[in-house]
Amino acid sequence: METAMGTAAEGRKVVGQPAHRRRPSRRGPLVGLIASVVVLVSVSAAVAVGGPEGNVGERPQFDSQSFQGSQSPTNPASPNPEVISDGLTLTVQPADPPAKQDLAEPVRLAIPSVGIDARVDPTGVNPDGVAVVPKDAYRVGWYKFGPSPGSLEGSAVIVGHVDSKTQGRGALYPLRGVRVGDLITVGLDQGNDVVYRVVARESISKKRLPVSELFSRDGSPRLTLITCGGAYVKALGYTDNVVVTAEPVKRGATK
Amino acid sequence: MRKSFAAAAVLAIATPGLVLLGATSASAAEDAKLSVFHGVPGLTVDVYVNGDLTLDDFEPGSFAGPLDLPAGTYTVAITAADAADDSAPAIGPIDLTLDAGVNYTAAAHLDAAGAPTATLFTNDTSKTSAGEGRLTVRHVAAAPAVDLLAGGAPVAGFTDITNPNEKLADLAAGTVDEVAIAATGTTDSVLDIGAVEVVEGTNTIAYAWGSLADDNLAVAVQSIDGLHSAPSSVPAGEAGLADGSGAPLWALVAGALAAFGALISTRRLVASRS
Repeated sequence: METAMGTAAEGRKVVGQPAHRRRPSRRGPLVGLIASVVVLVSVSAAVAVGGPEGNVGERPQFDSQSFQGSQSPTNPASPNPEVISDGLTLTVQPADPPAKQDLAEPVRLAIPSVGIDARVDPTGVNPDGVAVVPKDAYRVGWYKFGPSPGSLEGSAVIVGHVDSKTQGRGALYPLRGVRVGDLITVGLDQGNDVVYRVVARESISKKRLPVSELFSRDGSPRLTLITCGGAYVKALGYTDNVVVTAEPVKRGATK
Repeated sequence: MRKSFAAAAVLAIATPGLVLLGATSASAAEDAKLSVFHGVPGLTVDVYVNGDLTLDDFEPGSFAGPLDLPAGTYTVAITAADAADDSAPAIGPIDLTLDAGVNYTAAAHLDAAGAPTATLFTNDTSKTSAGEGRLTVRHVAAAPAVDLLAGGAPVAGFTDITNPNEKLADLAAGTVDEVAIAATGTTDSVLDIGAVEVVEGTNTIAYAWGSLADDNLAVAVQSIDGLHSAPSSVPAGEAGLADGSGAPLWALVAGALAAFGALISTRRLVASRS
């Protein structure tokens, strides 16, 4: 087994054992049997797992309050609370039109442990409600209608191709090899980075993808990465989505 | 109007982060939500609910709320500021019937002829499709019917809006530039609003208030967020390079070769022993 870790030259040296130690007439059959058993076991293992993705870690249940109809003031400047007679507090605010919020946007996604380093584009949805994934398979897309990485609440979602017919392996092809504990760095357009730590990697049937949960804007902050995986059926494409969930690492806790 | 809009924009940018308002109670799902808009120019008022002073010195152009209130009927009277009680209301008293789980805005405003009145609007908080936001335009000004203009042309679905009514539609999220209001059938702006942001998953409710005759038309905006939906799916692969349905090809080939080798060797073993 040392040869596996050694250099190519060492490997060759081991293979080239002195000829006098070989007894092909007796060992040949045994070696052949052992080799075939080893290979058959590895083949059946690959089949049993149902693909290289599998699931590692567990996606936490993120707190999510009922969000329908929550209301925000049009202008958060100088709220002026008014105490009313029965003890409730009414807040009065000016009714000026709101300005567009200038929030940080992600520009780069890096997972050094598996060699992912991709540019990030803001993406939305197609008219049919399907998430837009950047056509350029080497780039990834941040779901611009949801939280941005670094937000204090909700799931920031980045999607990317596992592969493409014209470009081969996509930016998120290595996502299937991400392990719990791996660090993810998201570069923001304001120059700073946000660091996350992987807590789960799952392969989920596309038919059962919990989109409301993965794209939730409530609950504790997290980063959700989504690509394709599972079996590939020519007419239908991939059967699964590979989903990686990561939680923010507090500043200074990465070293 | 452009000037005050810009001032508001500066204020909002200088104060990042939204302050969530309103008491959220455990039974919020069964409560009604009520916001109050004051759109009567030049009149600071007190608001009485069921005879109790609820809002003191409420300035024109302001919103109050939202309040979570148990479903039921509430009697609202609006008086001049610092009136001793609600015995001589300027508006009302009116009865507001609030249903459980419904989001309302009560607006004190002028009617088309310029007399103070009040209207209870129901805010549409149904879900919006992923990528869309809802725009609601309410006419609560002393003015004839109006059209909403964008870039000088009327916006489909937002024409012939009369006091005290509304028009609403779900639109692709994004910025609508050069928004203005004009008398229906004309394109001469009576109120320049500027750029309007259709925020994804949010009902942006614009009130045209004030008086055309008194040259104090203005726009006030209320936002109700959290109406968003998630995308339906994420199609992120197309070539089958990551196919995980079975063993990789190399493993199958190696396995076949090994099995073949074992077969030959076994035969030899059997032959050598016989």
